[in-house]
Amino acid sequence: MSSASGLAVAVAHLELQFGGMAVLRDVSFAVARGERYGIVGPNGAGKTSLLNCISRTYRQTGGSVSALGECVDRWRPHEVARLGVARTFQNMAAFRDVSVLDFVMLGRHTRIRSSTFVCALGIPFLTGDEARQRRAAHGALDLVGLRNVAKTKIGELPYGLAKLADLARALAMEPRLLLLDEPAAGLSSDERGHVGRMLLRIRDEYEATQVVIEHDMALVNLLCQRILVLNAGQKIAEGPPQEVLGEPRVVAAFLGGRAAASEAMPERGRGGS
Amino acid sequence: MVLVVVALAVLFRASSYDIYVANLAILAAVAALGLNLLTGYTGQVSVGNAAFLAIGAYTAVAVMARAGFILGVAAAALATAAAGFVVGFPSLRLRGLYLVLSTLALQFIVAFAFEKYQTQSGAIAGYTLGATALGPMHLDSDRAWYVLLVVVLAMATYVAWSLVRSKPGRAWIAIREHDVEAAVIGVDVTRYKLLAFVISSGFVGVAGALAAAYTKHVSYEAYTLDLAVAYVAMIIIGGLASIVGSIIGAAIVTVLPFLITNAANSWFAGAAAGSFVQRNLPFINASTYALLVLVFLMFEPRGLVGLPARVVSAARRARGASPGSAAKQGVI
Ligand SMILES: Nc1ncnc2c1ncn2[C@@H]1O[C@H](COP(=O)(O)OP(=O)(O)OP(=O)(O)O)[C@@H](O)[C@H]1O
Ligand SMILES: [Mg+2]
Repeated sequence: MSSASGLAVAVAHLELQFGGMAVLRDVSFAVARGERYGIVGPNGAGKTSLLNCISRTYRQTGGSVSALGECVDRWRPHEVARLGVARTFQNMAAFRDVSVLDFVMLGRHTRIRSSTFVCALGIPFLTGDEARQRRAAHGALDLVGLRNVAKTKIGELPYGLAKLADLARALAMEPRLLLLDEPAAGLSSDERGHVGRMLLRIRDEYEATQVVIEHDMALVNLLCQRILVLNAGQKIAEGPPQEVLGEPRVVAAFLGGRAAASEAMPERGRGGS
Repeated sequence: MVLVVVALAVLFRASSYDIYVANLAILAAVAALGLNLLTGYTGQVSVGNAAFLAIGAYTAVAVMARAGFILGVAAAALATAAAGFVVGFPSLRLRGLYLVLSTLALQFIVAFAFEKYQTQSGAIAGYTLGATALGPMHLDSDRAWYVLLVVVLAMATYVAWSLVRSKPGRAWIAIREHDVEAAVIGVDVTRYKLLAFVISSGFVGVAGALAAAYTKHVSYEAYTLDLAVAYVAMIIIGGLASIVGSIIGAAIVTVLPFLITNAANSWFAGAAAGSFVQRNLPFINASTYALLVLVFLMFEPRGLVGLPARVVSAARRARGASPGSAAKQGVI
């Protein structure tokens, strides 16, 4: 699609169903390259599912998705990553046994060219290629302020730091499109402040397009030029946060969502990858 | 370095029988390294190891007599790698117990096929291989084999170590930890799972071919499910996802039966209990390492290589606590 080539994300009439239950209904939106775009909505609105359709861990039942100018409807997840799309996970539950540095090195996976044969002979260690990749990973760790825990296992980190390690892993990919699923959720207010400053720094230092799911509206206001409001799988509003968040039906959706949820904070145990 | 010193010490000090046992341990270590790449690093549990050993051995029988030792080993590596590629396909769909069952199917198919092949071709007692020559060198003694096998183990260790510390190893670990997230991170899960099966079974096949050439005898009865399980025991006892652990585990599981047999012979010689012990030696051997596996699974899932870390952290805890309690606790 030539019309989508200038866009970082183009989602058209997206439908997603699980066993007859509609999770996304006719969702369309576009994100320009370099834009910072927010996705907000109550718990269970379908925000994570929407990102899953972009990173291809979910297959939509209708509509189409383009990322960085390519229609990815038939792609597999690793192909999307290779295109330059990085993604952080809402719950950092996996990779507990992996050291922070190895985890961030995993972010270099799509950037490392050495073949398996070359790796089997230990050549990347001799040519300095492995050392170069390690420096890049350390760079990403420096950016989020985690260099001093590089050798610690992910599972031994406090939750907030584990989420930062995930962010470092995504940044290590040097992505052109960065998808962040609730980077500040489940953190203490201290950690929240740190992540907020981090994201602003990424905004200023990286030209990557950012799509951020976040419940913290102050952070959303600060980070995003435009936001999409999802409610029960449907797009109910789109535009600059200051304008959109005041709209009566957006307010109503959030009040309804909050009444339905058992707590004001988004649940951590929920949501897939 | 340490390995070289130990290897040389064994070469000069040990009896020929000890060297025979060491050679068996080294052969087991090569296979255990391969299995650990698949199970410890990639998280794919397989009990197909005896079948891969058999495929390696039978390929060696078929090729070595005509094309020589080196080509025989190479052919065994290729044949088992190809078999591993095929066996890897169910892993793209199946997990855990179901995957174990699918590798179990390989065990039965291979055992059946080789039994039929062997009886049909009139070699009911199995196949005998000739003496091995490596260029001008004749591998006619346990000591000569020992030197070759140490070199092979060193190469296998280097390759396994290089793999797990670079791109493929990190991809394997990611698949073990969370395959969906691994894919989102950019790992081609299909490719790296199959790669793990191919490389892992290649290692096992090389071990099978070398074992055939070393013992000069191949017969299907040797490749039992018990044998396959023994390899799983090696990596659990030594340490899952550990290169050193694979070698230590292989050494323990290989040497233990010999130690038990020796002990039984010297302690119970002549006694009434002695004949009971001797009659049941295979069972005692099997249950000893089964017990070891259970103990490690329950108390130290990291295997023997996890013990130093445990001692260190226990020592740290003891130091952190009051002097009195530290003395009571000791270092566990
Ligand atoms: N794999 C799945 N199978 C069945 N239902 C699913 C699946 N994934 C998501 N859902 C359902 O889709 C709805 C939207 O889930 P999703 O995780 O996308 O919400 P969310 O907006 O990210 O919520 P939160 O703010 O709590 O993270 C939920 O009702 C969820 O139960
Ligand atoms: Mg979510």
